[in-house]
Amino acid sequence: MDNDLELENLLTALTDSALTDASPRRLEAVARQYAVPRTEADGFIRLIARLTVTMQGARPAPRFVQRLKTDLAGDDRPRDLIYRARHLPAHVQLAAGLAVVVGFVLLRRRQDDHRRSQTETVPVQ
Amino acid sequence: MIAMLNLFKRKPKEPDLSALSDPELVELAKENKVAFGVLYERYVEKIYKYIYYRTGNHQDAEDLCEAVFFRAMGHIETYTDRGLPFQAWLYRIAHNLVANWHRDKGRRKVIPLEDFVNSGLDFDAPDSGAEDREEKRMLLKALESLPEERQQLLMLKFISGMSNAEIGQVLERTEGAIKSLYHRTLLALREDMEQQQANPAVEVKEKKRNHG
Repeated sequence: MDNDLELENLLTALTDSALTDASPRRLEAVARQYAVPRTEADGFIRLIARLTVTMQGARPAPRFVQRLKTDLAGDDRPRDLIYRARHLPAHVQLAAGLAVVVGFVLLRRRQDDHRRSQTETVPVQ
Repeated sequence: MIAMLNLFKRKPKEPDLSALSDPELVELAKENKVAFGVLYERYVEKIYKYIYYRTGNHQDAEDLCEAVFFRAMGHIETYTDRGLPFQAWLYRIAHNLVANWHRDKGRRKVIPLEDFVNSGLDFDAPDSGAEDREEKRMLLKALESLPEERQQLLMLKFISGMSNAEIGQVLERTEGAIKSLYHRTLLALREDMEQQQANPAVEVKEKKRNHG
């Protein structure tokens, strides 16, 4: 009965250890801490190491993970200025575009006026 | 004008929710979707893998995984940790949905052998010998012949990396019972593989029959 319990404890410890490091050296070191005959432990070490390698893979597609997260919790990806501008209402986008164009024209006109006034104020001797 | 000014507003920094424990996140998630998003990120891969190995294809795994998290989000307000941690609660939802799926479709509960083989391609690298490959094939066959509960135990242990106590919460058994069941499962696997080794002729016949 005690032997069974010791073996059960060993199997749990071997599996927990194998999930982080399934190298034979690591598993043998774990096995040495339990009073289980070496021949019996060896068979299980090999089986657990094999299961660790075999039972993995099949990750979900990143696109699926992101889409479902957006569906569940909303999109929390970082937002830059352009992204936020693109999601404004159409009339606000139009007004913003017009403001940029008008601002540019005004700035240009002001520069021209300034340049012209400078050439006009040159004293004639 | 105000909408345009909002463009330049600096958003206040949100607290780092990923550092919180499950119970803390669950409490927050009852009112905050972002907190639920953190829980989702923590468990989506595990839940997906669990469902995938019980359904055998990615499309159904995605559909059921989606259903699990929507159901969890819909019922999180009523969830209270009465000895059943959030992770185990999610697995219970997944388990029930997969069981319904099997019942509705009348499908056999199988572990997809081919996908196991594909997922272990690294193991089948050119330097690993024919003996290794043969041993792996025998293991896969032994896994397939295990009863459903034992397959589930191995999935929760190796794919989800759960402890005996956590598995006990999912399968509604004590930690000791899981430890004992795990021991018996490994013994059964080992015996099955030994039998396959001792009777290779039967294996060859079966292979021929399967290949037509």
